[in-house]
Amino acid sequence: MIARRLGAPFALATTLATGIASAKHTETDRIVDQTAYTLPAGRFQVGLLRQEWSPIKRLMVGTYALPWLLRVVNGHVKVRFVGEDPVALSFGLGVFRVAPAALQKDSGNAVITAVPLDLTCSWRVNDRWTLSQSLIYTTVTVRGSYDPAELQGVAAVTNLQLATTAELRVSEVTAFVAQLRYLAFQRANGRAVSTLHPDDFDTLHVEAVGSSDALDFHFAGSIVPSVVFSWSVFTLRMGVGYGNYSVPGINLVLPKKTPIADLDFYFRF
Amino acid sequence: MPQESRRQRDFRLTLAAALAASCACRAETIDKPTAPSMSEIVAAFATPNGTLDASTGVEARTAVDAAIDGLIGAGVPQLIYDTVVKAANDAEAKNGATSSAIDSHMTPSLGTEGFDGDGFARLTRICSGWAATPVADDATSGHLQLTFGFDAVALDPVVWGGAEKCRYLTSGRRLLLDHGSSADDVRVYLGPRTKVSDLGTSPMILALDLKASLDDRALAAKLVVQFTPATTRLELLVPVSSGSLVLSLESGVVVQARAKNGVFACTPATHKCVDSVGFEVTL
Repeated sequence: MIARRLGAPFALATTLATGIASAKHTETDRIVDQTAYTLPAGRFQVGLLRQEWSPIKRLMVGTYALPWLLRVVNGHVKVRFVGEDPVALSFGLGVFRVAPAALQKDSGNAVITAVPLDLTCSWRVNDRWTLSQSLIYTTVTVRGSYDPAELQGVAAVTNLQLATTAELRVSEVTAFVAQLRYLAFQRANGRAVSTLHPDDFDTLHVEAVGSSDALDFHFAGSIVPSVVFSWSVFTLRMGVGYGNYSVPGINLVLPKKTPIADLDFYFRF
Repeated sequence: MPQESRRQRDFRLTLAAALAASCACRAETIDKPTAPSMSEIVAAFATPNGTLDASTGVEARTAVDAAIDGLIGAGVPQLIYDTVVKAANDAEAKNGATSSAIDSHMTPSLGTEGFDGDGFARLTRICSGWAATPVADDATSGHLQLTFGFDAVALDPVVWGGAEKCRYLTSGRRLLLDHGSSADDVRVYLGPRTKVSDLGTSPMILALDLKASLDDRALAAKLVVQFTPATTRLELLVPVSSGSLVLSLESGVVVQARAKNGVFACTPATHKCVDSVGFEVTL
């Protein structure tokens, strides 16, 4: 067990020390975020936001580590089913699951599940330019009850986003990335079953389903230009944009337009 | 691994992922019960198809007396009306609470714009029993049950339900309501697209088919009435041999009769009804 716990940090430290792997912007090492590309087979990418691994060529699995601290079980998989240049296509699927009762007592048996899936196409125009287009569909469901005596049900928010990413490589170290996101729709729907006892004589059982487009913010989107520096094993990504923030992973879009910071770093080995 | 095998494996992975995702995206549904029809009754109130003449006048008088001596006199229509209004208001209040509990946008709230919604509520009211002090005891006092549907904006037109050995004290007399001869003991027509806030102001039709007794005396328990809450007028749909007549009552006396052959103004003291051309019928 101890060896297993120490295994990953040890491997990371060893890799950092020896520098045997490369994360530079090369033919094989490409940015995998919001593109159709996957890590080379057998490689890890361990970063601030995500931790990913490619066990075999064109297949990548990963997780977001920080949400685990809040007992959010999560994982994602990405399959690059068309993988040759100049055009690559990938399909991604993720699952996030949390039970608020794990964090707070007396909060019922509700379970929140988010399932994002995306279809992404990347076109490597030339050695300098790569364009990617993603369709991102996400369902977030709340199933169960916050108050088991009163209410049982399920509610869901679904949305569809279009994301366009342009990457300009200026060297093996430096690349500029601009990402444009547009919220095609975001809709809430739910089903609730509740039993009410307004007084000693009356029992009222209510079942209802409903949906609303109240979360469908018109002209919601964002544009975030960033710069990505890739050294031997370390990559730093930073940028500032503006628009409706899309929460990473679960892809919920916030109603107000604000400045958006793009900060991430990761190691590849 | 051969290239084709890889592609097949990748395809299977993609298919499995898509299937898993599609399971998570299905639309939510409920098993909403279907309301019984009241279209014939609504049509009969709008256009009575019975002819009022000397023969049917006698039939009508008998039916009115039986109704006043029966369920109307026992206050049953008012009891059903109050139960419907309370159930609708409780459901509306509960629906708002439900919305807050999950998310203010995720469940339908009656009368709120911007929603697509559907649902139903079923009220079970334990009757107050025959004891001087009401006790909520279903086994002893029985119950009334009413079901009504709704969408995001309004109530469905028909509320329906029934009575199960329901015992009430009314003016000190023991009233018993139980299942009648049809599947739906109680049907209430609210009108099309009625909002909860409109209940109590818009006309309502009650069709009752109950087995009833008052102090162990059996009552004529089939009754179809329409009342407009803002008025003291009660309209009674009376079946006669030639069809149906609509008799308007105020304070328990007939003041108007509507029939296929015209509208009759009635004089309570003489029980005579006269149409616009002077044709007179005695009830």
